[in-house]
This record gives sequence, structure tokens and C-alpha cells, in this order.
Amino acid sequence: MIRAAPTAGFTILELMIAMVGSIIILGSLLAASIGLQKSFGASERYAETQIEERRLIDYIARDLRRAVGVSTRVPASLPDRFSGGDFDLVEGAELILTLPAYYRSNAPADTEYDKALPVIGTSGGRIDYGTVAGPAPPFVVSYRKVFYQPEGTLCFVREEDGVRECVVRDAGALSFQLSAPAGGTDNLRLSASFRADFSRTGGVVNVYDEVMIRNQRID
Amino acid sequence: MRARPSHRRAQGGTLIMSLLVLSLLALVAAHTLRRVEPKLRMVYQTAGWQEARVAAEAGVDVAMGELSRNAVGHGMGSWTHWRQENNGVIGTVLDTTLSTVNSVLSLLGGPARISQPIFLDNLRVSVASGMDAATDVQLWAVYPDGSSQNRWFRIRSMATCSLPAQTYTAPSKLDAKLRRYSLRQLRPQLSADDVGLPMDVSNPSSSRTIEVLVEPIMPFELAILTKDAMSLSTSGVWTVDSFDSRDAAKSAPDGTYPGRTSPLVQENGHIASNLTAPPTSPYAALIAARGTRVRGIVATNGGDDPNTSDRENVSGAIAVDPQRVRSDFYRDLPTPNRPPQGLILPAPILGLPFVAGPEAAPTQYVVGGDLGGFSVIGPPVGKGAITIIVNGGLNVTSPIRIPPNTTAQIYVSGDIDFHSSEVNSSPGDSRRAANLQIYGEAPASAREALRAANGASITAAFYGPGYDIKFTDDVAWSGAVVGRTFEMLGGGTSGFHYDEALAKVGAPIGFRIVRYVEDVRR
Repeated sequence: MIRAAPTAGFTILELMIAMVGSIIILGSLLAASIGLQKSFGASERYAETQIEERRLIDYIARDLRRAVGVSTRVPASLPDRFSGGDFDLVEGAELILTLPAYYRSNAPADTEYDKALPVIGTSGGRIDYGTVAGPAPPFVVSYRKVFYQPEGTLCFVREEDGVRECVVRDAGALSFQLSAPAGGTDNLRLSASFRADFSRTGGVVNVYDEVMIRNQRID
Repeated sequence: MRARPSHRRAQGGTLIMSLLVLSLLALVAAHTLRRVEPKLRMVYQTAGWQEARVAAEAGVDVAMGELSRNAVGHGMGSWTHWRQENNGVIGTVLDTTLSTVNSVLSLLGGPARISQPIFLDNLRVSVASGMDAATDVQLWAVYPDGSSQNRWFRIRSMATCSLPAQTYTAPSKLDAKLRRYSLRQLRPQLSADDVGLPMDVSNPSSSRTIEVLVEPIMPFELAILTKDAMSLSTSGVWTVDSFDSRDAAKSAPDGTYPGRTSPLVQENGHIASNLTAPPTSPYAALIAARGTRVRGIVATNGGDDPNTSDRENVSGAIAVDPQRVRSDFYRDLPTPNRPPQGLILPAPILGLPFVAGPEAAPTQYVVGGDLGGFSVIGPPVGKGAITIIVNGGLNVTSPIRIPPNTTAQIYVSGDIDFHSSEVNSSPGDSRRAANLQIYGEAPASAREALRAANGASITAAFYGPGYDIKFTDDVAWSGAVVGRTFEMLGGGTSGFHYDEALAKVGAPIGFRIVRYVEDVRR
């Protein structure tokens, strides 16, 4: 007679120890996984934020560099020539830049929209961009933080000749500041700040740039 | 047959479980990384867009440097490495290209005349990221009025900076609208405007275009301009002011200075110095005004502490408007060069006058040694011009007489002493500073001098960055002076009266940008 092989098995104690061990290990892994995901998510939002801030600053810096006039309007007031200090582009405020004429048309649908004006002689033996009627007048570009219907969210918008375009969408937590020392109006400091809701400490993500206005201001 | 021990099966199950969990975690990480990394790349890509602008501005800087080398003074420089298209063939720049009107924009609506462009093709530019970058620069001469002397320039610089190809990520829609990265080898705008070889910057790339208008800096734009120290009068009455001999509302009826107390006197008697304070004490007096009334801007190269309301850069500024004191001035002052020489005449003998030719063909004289007082006879009709090159000094003890219809340009290599003479200031003379332009040719290291003494009355414009200018007592000067230093001892009741008509006189000594635009639409 052949003896049956002994059947291996776990005691109830072994099973309980194994289960507790497994729960601890799996729990740790789960917690680590959630933490990792949060961390990666925060990284993603940080990168997105940087892109948004950088784009906002680059748009404004590009226009400031070629501007011939810089005005600001704080909420519920008239525009005022920017002559130093700090200006926050909050809802209701406006940054108004006067740009020199360069294009034959400022209407996007016009075929002349992207064509440069010829250089003409002006009074006093100077040259400028213009037409038979004389030097072309400068045009205005403005930046505002408003609810922008096409995007359905609060945006920073750039408006040129009545045409609006969204520069940054979902801009609720994003703020922009233009600053210069009092009386110093050619070298400007641009700063965009994002309130980091993904940060435990509620930190702020800042991006800075400094711009020198290349043209002589006429305002 | 032996059955496999059951504890081995249990170990295998644990391994499988562990691998499953690890795989799950790896998938989560990979997914998140895949979403995050492109955004980090996009941040990096914006650097290429920024550097394209820097490279385009570098192209403008190169063109400005070439203008300083090749377009100041008289004549045309060599324009090394620049090219032009001539009858469909690209070759070196011809001497006459920038001085020849190629098209008249009045056909398009304006009166400016413009030359054929010359260009730099695929100029390599080093950028901070180490990526490949190249710039095309185009340059036109523009003549805003009928004068060939008034030559402006238009510079267009297009730069392309390559982006890291292996990590390129398509930007978001909003970013694409601003930065306009290109995956094509050649952007359409460059293809349309490129007059040389196509850009060979690798793709993907980012391109930006900067355009500037450039005006000439003329030698007599300021009343008094020095490279180094400037010290004004202590008399308390001696004044620096201005008038405009072209405008009856800004001058006496005969176009001369209307008198110190006249309401026609103007406030554009600007004075400036390139002198800068040492780094160890950067806030220091660089112009000694010594109580002189200056009816114009007083400018220095630094010296003023921005944290105080005082004007540390100007001492004795009691009669200077504090609002018109600046500290942001600097101007290159090149040694003047002689105009191209044609038929050279010897100096007249026996005190006979020099004879001017017509304005289009000035007579040219060369004087072997020193020259004293002299007279010039203008052409019987029309405007005349004369160039006198003095290979020595100018020692003036008798009047210098220039007729009203003649412009005289005197090039002097030695000392100049006017003593107490009347220089182009007597009745019958032009009494216009623009009609007597004196250029001191001595280099900055030579330390030549220009002197005038009590009783001298001078109507002239002097440019000599190597000259120390020294007036003693009652010297009246109508015009402008540029020198290494300026010193007024005493001063009497006279003054220095800048003639605003001088602002457009002479050959350019440099260039400055007056309009900057970026082509953001094409």
C-alpha cells in the first residue's frame, strides 16, 4: 500500500500573517502610486503654467519692444501714460501699447495685411513708413484680462484694431505686472505669477523678463 | 510521480503579484511622463524663438557696425563680405550702389528715393543654446529729400534658429500663433525675400524678422561737444544758447544771432561730454558749468547718482535747468577724413583770395604750411564751394572772409589760433556758421589746440576730436564746436550761440536707429 503524500497547507496563523503582510505591501505601493501620480500631475501643471506665463510675457514683450507709447488704465479710470511704478493687469484694467505703423492694412482679412508700407520722406528731411498721404499713423494694441466668450473662460486677450485673440486661457490664477523705476520708462520689468494650487505650501510660480523699449516714445 | 511542493507555488504567486503591481506602477509613471515631457520640451523650444530675435538683432548690429566703417565721412567703404545682385548675378558690392537711386518711391506714393539693396547672406550667429542659427541682412540707402548728403538707411534682418529636432514637440495652438515654428527647410517669407542662397539652417526652426530705419549723426548737432573735460566761463554773464539762421522768427532780420535779451533766442544750446567717472567714484562732476547759463540740455556719460535729486554730474549748475541735465550721453567722434581729391590747386600767392567753384564741383586747394587770414571769392552766380587742405596750422591774425553764397571746408592738421580776429563775422561775410566748416585732422593722440582770445568774433563750425579748445575772455562764437576738451577762461559778456541750421551740415560721423519694428505677420 502506498502512502498518500502529505498535503501541504497553511495554518490560519500563517494565512493571517501573509494577508497582513500583503495588505501592508499593497497599501504602501498604492500610496506611493497615488503620491507619484500627484507629483507627476503637479509637474504637468507646473510645465503648463510656465508655458502660459512665458507666452503672456513674450506676447507683451514683443509689442513693448517696438512700442512708441505705453499707457495703463486701472479699473474705473481713464488711460494714463505709464511713467514708472507698478501696474497690475487685473480684471477691469488695461495695458495700452501704441505701435508704429508698418503694415499697409491692419484688417486681418485684407490682402495687404501682411505687406509692409514703403518708406517715404517726411518733413525735415526724415524718413518713415507711409503713403502718399504722409506718414502712416501708429496703431493701438491692448491687453486685458476678461471673460472671453469663444473660450468660455477668463482669459488674457490681446486686441488689435478691434480684433481680439486669446493669449492665455483659464487665467483665473494667473496675474501679470508691469513695473519700472519712477521716471525710468524705457527699461521695463514684466512679471507673470501663477498661484500654485497644486502646491501644499500654496507657493507662487513666477516668470520674469526685462524689456528695453527700442523706439523713442511719442506719448 | 512526485508532486511539486506547494510552497513553491506560493512563491510563484507572490512573484507574479509583485510583477503585476510593478507593471501597473510603471504604466502610471510612463503615462504621466509622456504627458509631462512634451510640455517641458515646449518650454525649452521657446528659447529657440527668443534666440531667433537675438540673432536678428545681431544682424542689425553687424549692419550698424558696417555703416560706421563704410558710410561715415566722405566716400564709400569697401563693404567686405557684402553682396549685391547685378543683372541677375550675385557679386561684390559696387562702389556706386548705395549712392545711386534705384527707385523713386514717389511712384508708390512718397517722395523718398531708395537704392538697390546690398546684403549679407547666411551670416552665422552664435546663440546661447548652441543651436544652429543664421541671419540674412539687407540694407538700402534712402534719400528723403533731394540732397545726396542726407542719406538714411533701412536695414532688414531675418534670423532663423534651429530647434532640437529629436525632441521637437508640436506647440499648442496659442503658442503656434505666436512663435510660428517651421518644419520646412525654408520659410515662405525667407524664400520670398532672400536675395542670396537659401538658409541652410536645419529644421525644425524658428524665424524672426527685425527692421530698423537709421539716420545719420551729423558732426554739428550740438553747441559744444567734447570727448573729455568741459569747463565753462566764470563771468556769470557768458551764455550758451541758440538761434536759427534759416528762420526769421528765431534770428535777427539778417539771420544772425538776435542778441542775448531778444525773445527770438532759442533754448537749444545743448552741450555734452563723453567723459566718464572712474569706477571707484562713479558719481562725480564731469562738466564744470561754473555758473554759466546754459539754455539747452547738459549731458554727460554717467556721473549722476539716480538715488539722489542732485545732479552730481554737473558742478556749478546754478544757471542750468535741472530738468535738462542728463547722464545718458555718449557719442563716437571719429577723426575727420578728407574729401576725395580732384584737381588740386596751389595756394594763391601775394595774399590773393581763394576762388570757389560751383557747388557741384568745388575747387580744391592745398596749402603747404601754415595759413593765416584769407578771403574767398564766390562764383558770380549760384552757390559756390571750396575745400582748402592745410598741411600745417591756422594762425589767424587778420580776418577770414567767406562770401554769403559760398561754403568753405577747411581741413587743418596743426594748431589753430584765431587770436582776436574777426572770422566770417564782418559785414559782407556770410555770417553763417555753415559757410565756414573747419575740420581738425589731428588724431586724438596728437593734442593739438584751438585758441581764441579777447575780442574774437567767430562765425564757424569746428570739428576736431583731437583738439583742446581754449577761449580766453570776451570771445563770441556763433556756430558749434567739437573737440577733445573745452575751456572758457573768463568770458566777458559774450557767449556761445549755436546755429540750429548746423544740425544737417557736414558729413555723417555715425548712425543711430530711429525706428524699430518687428515683422510679426509674414
